[in-house]
Amino acid sequence: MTCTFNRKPSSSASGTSLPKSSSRWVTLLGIASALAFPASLNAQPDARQMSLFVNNCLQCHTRPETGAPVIGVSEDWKAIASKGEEAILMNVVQGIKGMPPLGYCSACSEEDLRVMLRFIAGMPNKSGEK
Amino acid sequence: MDRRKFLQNSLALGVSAAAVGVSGCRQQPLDLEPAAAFKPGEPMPWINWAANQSCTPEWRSAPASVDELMESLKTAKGCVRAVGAGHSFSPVVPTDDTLISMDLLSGLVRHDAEKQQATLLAGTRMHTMGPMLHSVGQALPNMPDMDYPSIGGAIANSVHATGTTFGSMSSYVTGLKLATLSGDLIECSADKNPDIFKAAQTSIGSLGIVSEVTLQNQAAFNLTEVSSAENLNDVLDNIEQRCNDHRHFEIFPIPYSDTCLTIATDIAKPGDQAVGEDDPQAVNTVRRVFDATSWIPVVGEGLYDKVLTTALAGESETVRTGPSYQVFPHVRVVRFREMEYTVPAEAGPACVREILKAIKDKHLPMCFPLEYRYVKGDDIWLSMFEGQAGCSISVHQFGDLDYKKVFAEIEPIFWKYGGRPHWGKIHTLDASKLAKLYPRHWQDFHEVRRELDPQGRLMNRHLKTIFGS
Repeated sequence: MTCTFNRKPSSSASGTSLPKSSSRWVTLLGIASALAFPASLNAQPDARQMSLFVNNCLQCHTRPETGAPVIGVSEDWKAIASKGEEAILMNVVQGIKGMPPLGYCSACSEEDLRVMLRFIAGMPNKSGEK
Repeated sequence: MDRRKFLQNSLALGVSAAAVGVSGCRQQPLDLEPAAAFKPGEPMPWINWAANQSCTPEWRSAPASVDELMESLKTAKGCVRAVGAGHSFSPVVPTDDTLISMDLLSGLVRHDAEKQQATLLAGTRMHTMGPMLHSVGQALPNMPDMDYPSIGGAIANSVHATGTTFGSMSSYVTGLKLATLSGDLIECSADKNPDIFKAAQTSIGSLGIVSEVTLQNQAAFNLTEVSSAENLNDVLDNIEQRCNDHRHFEIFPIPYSDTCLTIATDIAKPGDQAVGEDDPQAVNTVRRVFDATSWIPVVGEGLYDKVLTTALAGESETVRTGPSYQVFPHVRVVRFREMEYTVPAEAGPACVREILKAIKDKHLPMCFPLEYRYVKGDDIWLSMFEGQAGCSISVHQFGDLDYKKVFAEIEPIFWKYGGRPHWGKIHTLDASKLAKLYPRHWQDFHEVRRELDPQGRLMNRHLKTIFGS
């Protein structure tokens, strides 16, 4: 179920525009930003992992209204990245705040989740690597 | 002052006393233990969205093609279960043996512009279906109010939305392919293997694993949704008319309050404009107000109602408008546990009134709004809507509070009205009781099930309880 109450718009909304309607652009910009990191430094999901990433992670991490940190918005990830990979991994597996356990991804292995969290948070390939 | 700010300011009424910890929703707090232990480097658990179900299967697979799915089934060991998005609250997924994830079996297989039908792989998530179908000029006629589930999981459990002229998601399936443990891929529809089709349209994953489904859609369309605060009794007294006036209509009754939220959704008209926006944290605000007021002896619950009514009255409606697949679903970020029963449509008002009275009379620590919806009847053997139109009533508890005791107080009310539990939500019925709720096709279903899975390898502990050994 979803129960929502009226919240005054943060900016004027009209016509057929919905907060979600901008999600595609946020997605594109976010992925573009993430991929813009030099491949040697930033984790790069393979095709299978990218498919899992798109089907699971992006449903929230492209939508600011969910409260989730948004892909490509570096300031959203600073505090999270500072926790370190192991702590983030535990949060991903067990869920945190509005984030469901495993980030919805039942097909993801531990390695898949590590690659995805490094990718989305802009962290280096190996834990602790600068 | 907007509603949320008013509600937050109202917390000052009782916030100091609420800190004592005696108020309703603060009672019986559960430790926030993780649903399952996890140590990096060791086997990873599976945990559902609500974090009330988990397992650590010995074997896992995530097929990326139907051939791989068939191979996974061929080599599967022990009890085999499939999982989509993991949105079920009931233990339909957990297995210690083989868990098959459908995440990678996702996408549009084909579409028929003339019939307005589309075939999708069963692991396709509903949040990707909207744009996918829109790209071929189609849309689901109806959708649940959240779009996280996979279509396979939605079909397995007869997931539904609201609207007296709309059936559940299962009712829009015109054909499907079922992969069985014996290595067959069975095509079925109303014309082809019709008995298997009627069983597979809602099977809780007990016949095999559905690999793809063909859905009856319609041409893409736009919707406008209007949310309002109203008096619950006024709405229930006129419920038939309210449902007839709109394409979709539903109510969110609020425990301990005469006020409810209504959501009316219709085809968008030229010039419809969005007003306001959703607040996904609204239920947390209600909880804080409840905690801050309800503890006060004698007047607490009345004060809570007064604060809510004052906050919600006189405010403008919230309006959302746009493509149907963007208007139907809402963001869900507050964790909760849910029990839902479907009672005969005509029994809905009396049943929900009795539930709200019980919550109030027994001072149950529940302030999470209920949900009240109507669904058209169908002929699917184990659908909650089989043979009759239904009124689906959901009760919820916050994810960090005990749900078992409060649900136990309410569940008998559903039984009194002949309610059928949602397969994917919390209930305590076993096979002997469920069989009586499905007198026409219970045996038919189990004949098909035993034929396709004679060894009962798709039956986990929960399925053995609800279906019998």
